[in-house]
Amino acid sequence: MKKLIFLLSGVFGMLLSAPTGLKAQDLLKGSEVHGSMQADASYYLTDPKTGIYDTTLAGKLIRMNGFTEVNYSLGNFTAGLRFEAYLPPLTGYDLQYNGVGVPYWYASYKTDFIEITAGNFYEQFGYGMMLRTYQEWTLGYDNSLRGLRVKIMPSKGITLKGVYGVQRYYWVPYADYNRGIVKGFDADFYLNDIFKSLNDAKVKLTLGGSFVSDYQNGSTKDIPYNGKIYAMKLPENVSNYGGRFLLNIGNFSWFTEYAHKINDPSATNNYIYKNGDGLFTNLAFSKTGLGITVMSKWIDNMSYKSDRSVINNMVNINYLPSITKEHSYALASMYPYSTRPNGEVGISGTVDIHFPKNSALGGKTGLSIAANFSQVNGLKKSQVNDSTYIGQIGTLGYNSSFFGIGKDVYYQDGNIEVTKKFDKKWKGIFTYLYQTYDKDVVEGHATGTFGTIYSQIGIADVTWKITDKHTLRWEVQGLWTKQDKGDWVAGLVEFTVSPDWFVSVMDQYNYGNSSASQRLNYYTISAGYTNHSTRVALSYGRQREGIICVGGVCRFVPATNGMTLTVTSSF
Amino acid sequence: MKTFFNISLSFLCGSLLLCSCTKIDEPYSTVKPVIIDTTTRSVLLEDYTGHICVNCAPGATMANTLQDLYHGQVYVIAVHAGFYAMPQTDTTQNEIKKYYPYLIGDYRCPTGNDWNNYADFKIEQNPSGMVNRRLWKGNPSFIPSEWYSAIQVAVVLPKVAIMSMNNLYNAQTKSLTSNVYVKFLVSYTGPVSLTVCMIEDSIYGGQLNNIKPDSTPIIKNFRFMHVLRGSLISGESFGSQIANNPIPSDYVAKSYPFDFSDKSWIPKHCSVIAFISDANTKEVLHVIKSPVIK
Repeated sequence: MKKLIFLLSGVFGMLLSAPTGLKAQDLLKGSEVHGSMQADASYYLTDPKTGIYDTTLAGKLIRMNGFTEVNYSLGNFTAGLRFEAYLPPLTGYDLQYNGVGVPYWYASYKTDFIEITAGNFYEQFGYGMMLRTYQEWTLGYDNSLRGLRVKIMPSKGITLKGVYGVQRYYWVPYADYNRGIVKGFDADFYLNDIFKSLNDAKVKLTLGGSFVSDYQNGSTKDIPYNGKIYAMKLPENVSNYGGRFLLNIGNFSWFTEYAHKINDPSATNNYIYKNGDGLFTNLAFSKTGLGITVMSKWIDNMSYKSDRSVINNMVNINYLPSITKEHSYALASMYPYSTRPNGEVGISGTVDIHFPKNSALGGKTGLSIAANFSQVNGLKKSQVNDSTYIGQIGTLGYNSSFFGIGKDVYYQDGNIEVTKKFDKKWKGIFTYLYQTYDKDVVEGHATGTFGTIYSQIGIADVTWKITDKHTLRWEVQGLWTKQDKGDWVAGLVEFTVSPDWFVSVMDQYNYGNSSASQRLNYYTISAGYTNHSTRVALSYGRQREGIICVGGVCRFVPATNGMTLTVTSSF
Repeated sequence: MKTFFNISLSFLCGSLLLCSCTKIDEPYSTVKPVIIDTTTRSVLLEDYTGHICVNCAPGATMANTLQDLYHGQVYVIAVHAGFYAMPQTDTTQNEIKKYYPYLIGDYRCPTGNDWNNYADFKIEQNPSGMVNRRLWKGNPSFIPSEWYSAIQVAVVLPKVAIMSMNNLYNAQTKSLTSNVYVKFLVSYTGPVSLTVCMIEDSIYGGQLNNIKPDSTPIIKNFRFMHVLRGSLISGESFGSQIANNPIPSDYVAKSYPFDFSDKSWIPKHCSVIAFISDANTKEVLHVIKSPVIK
């Protein structure tokens, strides 16, 4: 409440300090209020077949996640807040979210020269390997900074940013250094704007650099190990710094970012003292009808948090890029890849080709083909010495070389997607995928527990535009694997009455499960109504357990059975 | 010139931040002695665990280490409850089939289930632990690497009461009478409960594993210690109230019978743990442990 009063007093303070003689309505003229809200409420049922009993639900049959965000702007001034409620959180979300409050509020003033933000803010330096704070509602992820951000544009082509603050950790208020204080500085130089002689050059170059430091109170931490207490020396200030460039030449674009982090023992890396390194590069070519992208990354001990004892997704200061393709189809996203901050090396390539109408391959209506391949391996690591095993607590941890690729394949995904419009009424998307998924590594199990899953997936997605307002779409999907839960088949039928209504029925059937009792149907019936910017959707059914990932950051989703109501709106 | 100034300013700002680095040189750690002080409060460490949780073996090792280091001042209860403690009897499941029958053990009990499901404990992952059920960094339960830090704070708190226990076991009838005595040393505001539980050591069975450096997926003959078997106070998982606003020298004596004859537990491996706690907040104020057979 104090924060709300602070915000409101800021707004009214500005109004009152304005020149006298002006009326309030003059001052408010031109002001705007925008906002959005979302509420997801579920009613859960027991379902012994998927392991959901009364004890699992523990009496909490109805749960709700919801937020409302309001932003106010008047001239150069903006302010806003977000109210959140988790009463209690939906299953699969961290129970520490249980509660209501305003975790995000800010006031900001911006001119052509400077932008100052006080309160909570989201910021990204470069690609984010040194600093990126953001919010992802579907993951329950929010690592916003609360403090001060200053952005200065001293001259054309130069942007300087400074941030200083503490990160959100559920509802736990910051006090007595209970988590780290993050400071960061970032500079971006667009050389073609800075130097007049380069203004019209075909070669465009942007250089950038960032420095981030995290202060965590306490220079020692006692850790029991091997029957003794070890007083570990801890770095109170951990820095992460690096540089980047973006080069554009004609149809080519090349972006590269490198980050280096000093010793940062933490619960994530088992309290080892090795420095961290990260490299991400993205080379792209695009012209009409053709797009080619090649990406690669090398991550070595790059978890960077403002509380070294936290092992889940909270208080991440940086973001480690994901190069694998995110799939939206149900079976294609059954085995998604989650970035391994302790070490991985990956490469991916994507080719998008569009054959225009009336070409040899495009036919009368055109044809699009998108092919993608990605592979992520472990790092090549070696022992520091004969008496220290790899990753041993309280040591340097291991040795590794630049871009040293380990033998273990964590993830591999080769897929091709063909989109064909047959005529004005019929359109089809046909996809084939081959995936390799090291379940033990990606989900954090011991080596050999589940092993590696090799799967092939086929998808047909056909849309029939019956009339201008009525559309029928159906999907048929199949996933075939000899590992894990075996083969699956899925089907979906969706009827849309534009622009207001839709109704769909979907079923995923695990017909290949080696356990007869687990050959279950995961059925869902959904319906939704849209009125301008408001959408109401109701669904009923059984959801299989799994993992959802956005940008390589993942959340475990337990099996559920019940009804879900989702309301979204914006104004 | 202006551009040169701006770029210089940028590097100046960056170089100022460069001072914010703490480079640590070897040795990274030193061995530290542990001070045991039995004149202060004793501590209950609850390890919420499960035999199909791969990180629970290291968690159990941590709990054992802490109890050994703080011998006589820290007591562990391993609470097997929740998803990761479910017996794995379905031999048709691919991932379980290869470990059958090592994971069929069921170490759960109603008391452990009640604790595990108690919302305010926020047991949402395994291993997860509570130290005297006190908040640590805002959380009632937390990961093993935080247990020691929380214990360091808890063990220096002054005693609220002293406790003693006398177990009388009749080998012929396989019956036990556990006598628990509580004497308050200071005034305490609020209701105080007494919880009396049975735990068993040295139960052998399969445990999925992730202990470095071997990381064998399963330890087929894992030695489970401090396994919670249940409450001696029937139907009272959170104990029974023994005092309200007690004052110094208030004295409580309780006696609890227990019958081993219908149990497969081995009495010589069993111990009784009794602890007093705030009946409202559930914070543990003192704890004592005594073997069934001395």
